[in-house]
Formats: sequence, structure tokens, C-alpha cells
Amino acid sequence: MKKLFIALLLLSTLILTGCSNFLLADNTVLTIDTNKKQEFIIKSMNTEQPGIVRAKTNDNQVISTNSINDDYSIDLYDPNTSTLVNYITTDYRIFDVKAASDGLFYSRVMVNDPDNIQINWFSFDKATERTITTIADTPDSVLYAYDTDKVVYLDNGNEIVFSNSLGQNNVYTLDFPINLKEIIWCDKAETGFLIGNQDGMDSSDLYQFRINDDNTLNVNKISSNTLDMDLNKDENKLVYLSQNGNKTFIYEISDFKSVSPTPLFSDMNLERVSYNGENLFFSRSENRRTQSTIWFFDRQAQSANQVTSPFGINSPIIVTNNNEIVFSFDERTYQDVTASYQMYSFIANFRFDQNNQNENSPLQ
Amino acid sequence: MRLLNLRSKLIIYNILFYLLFMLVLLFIILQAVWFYSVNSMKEELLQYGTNLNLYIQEVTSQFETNEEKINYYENNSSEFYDESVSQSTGEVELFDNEGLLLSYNSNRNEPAYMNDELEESILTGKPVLTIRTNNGIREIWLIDPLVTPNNTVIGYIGMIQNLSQADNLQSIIFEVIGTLSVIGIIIITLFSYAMGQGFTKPIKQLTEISSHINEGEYDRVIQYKRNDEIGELTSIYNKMTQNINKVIIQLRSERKRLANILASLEDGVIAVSEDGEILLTNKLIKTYFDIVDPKTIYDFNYHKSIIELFNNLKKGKRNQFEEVEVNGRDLLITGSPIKSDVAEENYLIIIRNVTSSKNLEREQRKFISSVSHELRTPLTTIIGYTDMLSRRKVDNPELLEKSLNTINREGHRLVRLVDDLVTANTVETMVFTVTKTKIDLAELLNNVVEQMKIKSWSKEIEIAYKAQENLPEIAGDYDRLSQVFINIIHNAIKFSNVGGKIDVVLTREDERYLNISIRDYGIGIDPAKKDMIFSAFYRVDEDRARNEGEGGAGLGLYLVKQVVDNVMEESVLNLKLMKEPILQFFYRLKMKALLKWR
Repeated sequence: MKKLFIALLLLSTLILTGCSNFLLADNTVLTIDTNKKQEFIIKSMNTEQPGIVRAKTNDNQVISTNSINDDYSIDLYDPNTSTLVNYITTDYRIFDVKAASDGLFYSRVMVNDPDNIQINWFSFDKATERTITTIADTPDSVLYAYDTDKVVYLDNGNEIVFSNSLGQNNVYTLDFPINLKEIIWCDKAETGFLIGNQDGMDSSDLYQFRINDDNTLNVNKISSNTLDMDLNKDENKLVYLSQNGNKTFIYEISDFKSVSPTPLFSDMNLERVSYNGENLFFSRSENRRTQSTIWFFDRQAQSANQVTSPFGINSPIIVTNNNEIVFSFDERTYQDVTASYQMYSFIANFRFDQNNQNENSPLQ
Repeated sequence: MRLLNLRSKLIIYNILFYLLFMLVLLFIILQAVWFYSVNSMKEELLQYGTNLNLYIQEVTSQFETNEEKINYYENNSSEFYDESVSQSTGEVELFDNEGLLLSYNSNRNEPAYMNDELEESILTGKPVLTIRTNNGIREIWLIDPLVTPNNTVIGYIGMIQNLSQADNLQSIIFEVIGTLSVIGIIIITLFSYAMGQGFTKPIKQLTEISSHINEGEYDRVIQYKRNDEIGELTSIYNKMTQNINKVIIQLRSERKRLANILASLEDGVIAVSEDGEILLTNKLIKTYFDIVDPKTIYDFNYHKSIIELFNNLKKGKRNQFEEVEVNGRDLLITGSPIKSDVAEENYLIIIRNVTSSKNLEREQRKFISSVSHELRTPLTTIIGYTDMLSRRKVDNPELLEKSLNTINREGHRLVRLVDDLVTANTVETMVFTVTKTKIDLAELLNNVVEQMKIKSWSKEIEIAYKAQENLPEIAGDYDRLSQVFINIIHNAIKFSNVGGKIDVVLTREDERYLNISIRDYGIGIDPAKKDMIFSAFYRVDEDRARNEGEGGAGLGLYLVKQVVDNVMEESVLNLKLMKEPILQFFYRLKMKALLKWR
């Protein structure tokens, strides 16, 4: 019992005298060993052009939208020159824009009918512009354009509609209504993916859908709590973000038939993913100021490297073939002396070079 | 003196172990929480550093050379400061690549001096961290180099973040652990108390039963049915007590047997140890020496012979004996060592009551003395007269007749004496037979009275005989009974005065007894000698008895008593010396006869 008392006494003394920093002593300078390696060197950065990035064209141009006062515009942004070319201007709010090879489709508020959405086709040669359909007002009115002039979207909450620039539709009905967040159609594999949540559900799920021979839809749920997805059209690979607990996982589906997702990476607070087939980028929200940073996932090293400083990213991350990433971000700009802030959106265009520096090279 | 019982110790030990466990847990949790908090904070601060670093790289990407970048950074440090502050929740300080302060929180009176951290970071080119206490609040100080893509250091960012959250968390943990400890102690105490019951109850039972066993109750059993170590112990203990009980019972039985043997011994026994401690006695020791429960041999200090004998035995003398007289008894004391396998030597002292044999010797000596005297007296008379007749011619016819009568009388007296001696010997050796028949006691007494009237006429003594009518018969030997009554009446005649009276009365006393009263009115018997009248050769008045015409040898009543006591069946005839109520110091003879046949 005596030994027990002594042990108790010693331990109590140890604790009560503040030895809680037993492993990290006070006033001792500790060097932190980090193995940070900057994968990419920022070659250039341009954040001057306003707009919200929407999609990429086949020739690596970026489609963006902008609104100034009550004017809405669809612009083409050239990452090489960092120049913006106005394409379409309208008085009506534009929801989504997607580009096919010959033109673009965009959704906007219908004239004189704010409860309905109009989907328009605009050819890049500016020769043709027409309304191809009207759909019920759905949040964001998400579109996906493919092929030369085809688009797929959701109508009436449960109808997947395939249209072309001539307005010819094929409608396929889902068994359940859904609030669509994103939709993708892989024409080569004749399979599509959509992210949406059913009524009453807080989180969105990822579904794969196919068109059966009898023109019915075959829908399979692939994942729950899905935040974002991106398709590599060339390689028919899909990546998506799925949240599990407090971590977000990046999955890849290589085989659209067997659909066996492969986890690539996980971290906290991942928001969006972009995949150009070779490089995979994702954004991660930083808790402060609701900003996000963009990271590059090294598939070989199975590690991620931060690429940008925090931005208020409000668009998909477009990765071009020229080691460029394009996205748009919100920025509060001090407006006038009355200390009011206005939110602006700018297109950020980062051009990177691969960092060939030896990671062990000394600081200069 | 026992300070703590087993249950208390169990409780205290459990509490102490629990406290130790909770302290260890607390220590580990505090360390873990602290380490985790600091680590998390460190990662967060490093992230801030990285964010600023990238921001700087983004902004200075327009410049080609490192110098341009450094200049731009230094010239626009306030912009970068604003950017970093917008990201961080703590204090930020920006330094140039030589460690000079560029920007800090202008609301502070003075910047925090992060010189140690800067020195280390400049030296190693790596981030450094320190935990410091500022006004009682612990803070994490971190310096992170700001580098160009080709690892050229542009400057340093210093971040200070307080760890109050971690401290608060630790306080909460303290409180939680403290509360859990208190609750745990209560639960542990109750649980230990209850658990201790299970442990201490059989031990208490063991103790209690051991106490009972110590007091001699060997039949106690502990009830404990569980199959654990204590169950084994109690099972073995129960078997042990059962065995002890058996042995005790055996020992008691043997002891009782030994006590019975000792009690049935006709000799006194003293077993004594070498140092005088009494090991064993029997009750005759009390009878002989009037000593109750002697502890040591020296309790016999009033009986020196015993102690002397013991001392002689101790000296190595063997087979000691001594004859002593104690309290009116003749005792033969013998002593010898007790043979034993063990080294200690004990002694056995035997005390034999030889009073009767001594008395017998004395009686024999007295008998021989009396017999020789009785024989000598008439023989001397006969020899005297025959000598006189043979030596002198006696012409006097009267003298001659007297001499011849005397010779004849003394001769007859010798014959009677011999007859009496033979009868006495026969009675003592019990060699004559007894013939039992139905006897009319009234008729028998009548015949005896008529026979004795012949003798009583010489002294003019009247024998009055009265018998109750219709008395039942008794069983007995006619001759022996006649002899008894003859001797008693003969004795009455001898000790009655001339002209006296003897009353012989036969009555029925109750359903079982007849009462025969033979009462004389003569000289009576001295109360002091009443016990002696039935002794052999006892005569109250020696001269009178010898000079009487009959001249008895003192065997008459002796023979009566011998016949009554030894020959007749028990209780056939009880001879008693009844006290005459009127004459208080004189005794009359009275007999009771048992009605054997009914």
C-alpha cells in the first residue's frame, strides 16, 4: 500500500504541476520537419476578367457567364490570351451553359414566364440561335452538352430529355422525382450519370442511367452523399466525390458496365473535382472565410499538393490541356467610402510549369 | 492490534488502484489532448503559411527574378499582412528574408519578439514552433519560411495562436475525470464492500468456527458452496474439523474408558511427571488423603511419605514402597517409573488400602491370642487338677469330686470352644450347606424358647414368648435360624440378672417383614461398644463371662452375625441393634425376617 501511495503522490504531483506538455516542452524551439514539395510552379496567374466559369469547349476555350446590372452575358474566355469575348447578351437570367462541338446550349428564364426555363441553342458560327424547349423551373436548370449539338437535361422533375439543336427530343422517365444537381452523358458508353436528391432527402446521390432497348430507363444508384463528378470523355472515366462521415472520398469508375468505384484519395472538406484524364484536381474548403484551395492529386505518389492559395471558388475547375486551370471566384471589393462591399466574380487562370527542382535543394 | 480488517483493506486497495488508474488515464488524456491540440494548431498554422506562400507566388508570378519578387513582397508587406490576417485567427507578423519585422498588428503596443524562432528557421530553412506562456495564456508561436517556387526565401511569416481552447478542454477533462473519479470511488466502495462480503464472510465463518472449536465444539461446519479457492479451503477445513471431532470423540471415549478403569481400580493411582506435576489421579486419592484435584505432588505436603517416595524415585531409586496410616486406614504406597518411548520420565504411585488385611492380621493375632488364652485357661485348670491328682493321693472325696467335676467342666468347655472355632471357621470359609425350607417361624421360636428355658431356670429367668397368630411362612434354613435364635437368647440369659425376664415377641410388621424382638432387662450394652459386640471373641466383661457357668469365648453374637450376613440370603434376616426409646443409652436386639414365599 505504501508503494501505491507513493505512486499516487508522484503522479498527482506530475499532473498538477502542469506537466501536460510533457511531450512538448514550453519555451523550446522545435523544428518542424515537413516534406512539402511543390508539384507545380505558377507560371502565370490572371484574375482580371470577370465572370463565372461554366464549361470548356472542345478547343480548350472556357465558357463563362457574367452579369452586370441586369444584363447577362455568355462569354468565351481564352486561357492562352486571357481574353474574354462576348458571345451572347440577354436581359434574362442565365442559369447554365454547356458547349457541344458546334455550339452551346444555355438555359435562361423564359420570357414573360419566370416559372419556366427556356433552353436555347447558339451555334459558334453565330449562324443559328433558337429555343429548343421549355422546361419547368428547376434549381440551376442543369444541362449537359455532348456531341456536335446535343444536350441532355431534366424536365418535370423526373424526365430525362435528350434534345438536339433542332429541338428534337427523346424523353425518358425516371421512377422517382429528383432535384438535379448535375448530369453527364457519355455518348460512347451510352451511359449517363446524374447527381440529385430526392424530395425529403438532404444529401444527393449519384445514379447511373442507361437506355434499354425498349426505350426504358435503367437507373442504378451508385453512391450516396455525392458532391461532384467529372467525366473524362476520352477515356470514359468518371470521378466523383462522396462524403463518408467527416471525410470526402474521390472515387473513380473506369468500367461503366461493372461500375466498381475505386477510391483514389480522401480528405476533409473536398468540394469539387476535375479530371482531364491525366491530371486530377480538386478543391478543398478552408474553414476561414469560406474560401477554397485547389489541389492536385498525384496518382503515382498517391499524395495531394496544394496548387493555389484560398479563393472563393464558385465554379467548376476547368483543366485545360496546357497545364492550365481556370475557375472563377468571388471577391469582395470595397465599393466606396461608405464601406460597403460588393461581390464580384473573376476568372482565375493559372498556368503551371512542372517543378523539376530537387526537393532536397537548399533554400536560396 | 489490527488497524484494518480485510474488507477495509480491500476497499482501500480498490480505491487506490482506481485512483491510480484514473490519474494515469488523466495523464494520458491530458498529454494526448495537448499533443493533439498543438498538432492540430500547428497544421492549421502551417496551412496559413502555405496559403500565404502560394498567394505571394501567385501575385509575384508576374516577376521573373527572385529579387523582383522579394522587393515586391517587402514593398507590399501590408497587403500580404492583410491577406494573412484575413486567413488567420491569431496574430501575424511578417518578416523579410533576414528576419526583420515588416508588418505586425498595429493594435498591439509592441510586436511579439520571435527572435529565437526566426534564428532557428533562418538556420534550418524549416518551420519552427515554440510553446510559450503569455500573461498566463499558453500560445503556439510558429515561424514559416515564405519561399519562391525555386525555394528562394522571400521572407518569413510568424503566427501566434493562443491555446486557450486546449486549456479549456483540459479543464473540462479535469472536471470530467474528477467527477468520474468521485462517482467511481463511490461505486468502487460499494462494489468492494459487497465483494468483500463474499470474501470475508467465509473467513469470518472460519474464524468463528475456529473459536468454537477452540471452546470444544468440534461438530461445526462452514456452509460455503462455491467452487473457488475459498470453497476448497472451507471444504478442507470442514474435513479437518470432522477428523478432529472424530479424534476428540475417540480420545474422550478412551479417556472415559481410562477414567472408568481408574475409577474401578481398588487402588489409588497418582501419575506424576518428573517435575512433580500431577498427570493423573483417581477418586480414591480424595478418599484416602482428602485432597481434591491435586495439581502437583507437593499438594500432598501433609503426607510426607508420598513426597519422600517421589523424591526417591527422582533420585533413580526403583520400586519404592512404604506402609503408612492415613485417616484411620492402613495404606501401602508403591512407586515406580512409567516406561515410555519418549525421553521424559514420569512416575506411577499406587496407594493400596490394606486396612482389611491389616485388620485381619490383627484379628488373627487377637484370635490366636484369645484362642491360646482360652485354650490355656481350661488346660491349665485340667493340668493343675490332674497334676494334683496324680501327684497326691486325694482321700477327700469332696475334693476328688470337685477336681473331677472341674476337669469335666473345663473339658466340656474346651469341646465347646473347639466347636465354636470350627463353626466360625466354617462360616468364614462358607463350606457348609444351606437347606432352604418353608419355615413356620412361630413354631421355630417356640421350640428354641422351650430349649433355652432349661438354661434360664438356673438363673430363675423367665422367658416370655408371644407370637402373632396366622403368620405366613418364610424361606430359610431351619437349623441355622435355630442356631441364631439360640445364641441370641443365650446371650440374653448371660447378661440378665437373676430373676430377670426375657421377652421374645413375634409379630408381622408389614407385607414383607416379620418382626422378632428378643429383649432382656439385664445390664445392657455400653453405647461406646455397641459396634463391637458382633466382633469375634469380644466379651463385655471378661471375668464375668469366663467365670459364668457357661464360660463363652465371645463368639456367640459373632457367629449370629456371620450366619445372618453371609449364609442367609440377603435380606432374609436383618439383624439390628435397636435403640430402646425409654432407656436411651441401652440397646436391645431386634431382628426382622423377610417373607420370602408369598
